[in-house]
Formats: sequence, C-alpha cells, structure tokens
Amino acid sequence: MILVTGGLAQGKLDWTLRHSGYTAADCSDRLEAAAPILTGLERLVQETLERGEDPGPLLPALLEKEYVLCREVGCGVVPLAPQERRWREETGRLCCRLAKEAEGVVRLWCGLPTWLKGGGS
Amino acid sequence: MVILLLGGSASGKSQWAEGLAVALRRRSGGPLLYLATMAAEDGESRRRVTRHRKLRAGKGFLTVERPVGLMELSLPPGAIILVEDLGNLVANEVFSPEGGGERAVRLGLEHLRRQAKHLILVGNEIFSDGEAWQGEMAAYLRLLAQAQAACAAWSGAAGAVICGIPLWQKRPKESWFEELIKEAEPL
Repeated sequence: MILVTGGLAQGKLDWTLRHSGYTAADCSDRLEAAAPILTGLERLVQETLERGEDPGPLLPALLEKEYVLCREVGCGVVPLAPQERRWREETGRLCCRLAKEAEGVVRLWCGLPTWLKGGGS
Repeated sequence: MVILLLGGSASGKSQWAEGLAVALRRRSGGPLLYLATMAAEDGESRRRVTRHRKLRAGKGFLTVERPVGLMELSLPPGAIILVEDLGNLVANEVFSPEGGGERAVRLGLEHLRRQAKHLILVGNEIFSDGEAWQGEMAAYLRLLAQAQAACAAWSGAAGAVICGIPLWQKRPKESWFEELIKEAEPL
C-alpha cells in the first residue's frame, strides 16, 4: 500500500493515476469497494466518527488497498468544535499508523511528489 | 527560468524572491520588474505595501501595480519579473468586478511566462487547514492550487520558504543554482 497525502487540490489523484496506470474507474471512496485506490480517507474517517464508531479498525482493510489517498487536515488553527478536533486527531493518527505499515508514502505539493518513505519508482 | 516560491504569511518568501530576482539580473541584465497584484484599498494593505516598498528600495525594481488583467500588460523584452502574489491575483480575477476569472489567471501567467527572461512567482500555502470550505472559498482554493501547480510544472525551481529557509521540491542540480541561492540569501 502506498499512502498519498498532501493538502487540498495538490494533485494526489492525478499523481496516483499517472504512477499506477489505473483510471478513475479504479478509484472509490468506499472501503468495501473492490477498487485498488481509496480516495478521501479524511471523509471516511469523518463518516465513521459521525456514526459514533472508532476509525482504528479500518486499518487492516486500508492496508489491503494499493493506494490510499488522504488530505492533510491538521495544519490550521485548532477548531473550536470538539468533533472537528477529534476528526483532525483521528485522521492524523490513522495516517501515522498507515505510514508505518505502508511500503511507500508520498506527499504531493503543487503537483510535485516527494517520497517520504520507500518508492522513487 | 521560472522560479516558484510558496510560503505562509511572514515566512520570508518575498525577501528570497527579491534576492533571486536581483541575483538573476546580475547574470543576465535586463529590466527588473516588480508586479504587485494586491489591490491596496485599506490602511492595512497600504501599510503592507509601504513595508514591501522599503524592502525593495535601492534594489533597482520598477514597480507595476496590476491587480487584474496581466495578459494585457505590455512588458519590456528580456525582463526579470517578480510577481507578488498569486493568492491576490487569483482572488482579484475571481472575486472583483474587474476580474476575468480563471481564464484571465491562466492567460495572464502564460503571457508573463512567454515575455519574461526570468519569472519569479510568489504564492501561498493555505491548503492543509482541514477546514470544510464551501462555495466561493472552496472554488478559490481549487483555482489557486491549480494555478500554482501549473507554475510548478513550468518552473525550473520550486519550493516553500519556512522561517526564511527555502525547502526546494524541485531545483537544478548544477552548481550555478547553488551559487545563485547563496547570492540571493537575505541578509
């Protein structure tokens, strides 16, 4: 699994499609879908929290994916609403755990990739 | 050459951009143009403008204030152009009554890229705050991200300035660039 991160609209999906040779048809934001690319992990975490569930148990299924895309969400002012603080926290922690297990971690910035772990290919 | 420098507020990106522009001019000659895109309408904006003017004083910049419509700007040939900054440019083109939207941003930047000998672009890092922006603000962020990614793709060097230190994501490997940034470093 390669974890692809970066801020809003920094080119995560474009890079992933170029790197993998997959197309948009191979992407899904549903974890249960058979697609090799999971997009929008930050939204999945949000939905999980809204259902009152812990996002931690998503980890094994995420590791089964070839690419997991997650927006960086932790660089703003600490939100006033506790549910938003929890969401940033859970998204960030989950990404740390994913990065530990991932074979590669890439950060997109302005469309440019930087390998933080593994890769280069 | 196109150089893209992003950074947070007060990160030191402007001083680096100015240093690079001056260092490039020492090598290639040509007019040195500072293209200011902020529409300075209130007291705070004017104070910012004054601070930036002081920083640039004596460095040989010709200042052009142009909040919108860069594609219609007539430019001297062979100029070294510093644009500050892309966040204001996109906001003006998209939100102000005089603005020409996404198309004007793209055509304006392409015009500068074609005309300039060297183009230094200052931009903004505002994409990782996790805010659930909606409507106009979400559209603005996407447009700015796209414009900056296009500039990064053209650029020979692109990086973020953090605490006055540039972190290059893309740069020429040759020693001339190392010498250029050594010379450009703010005092």
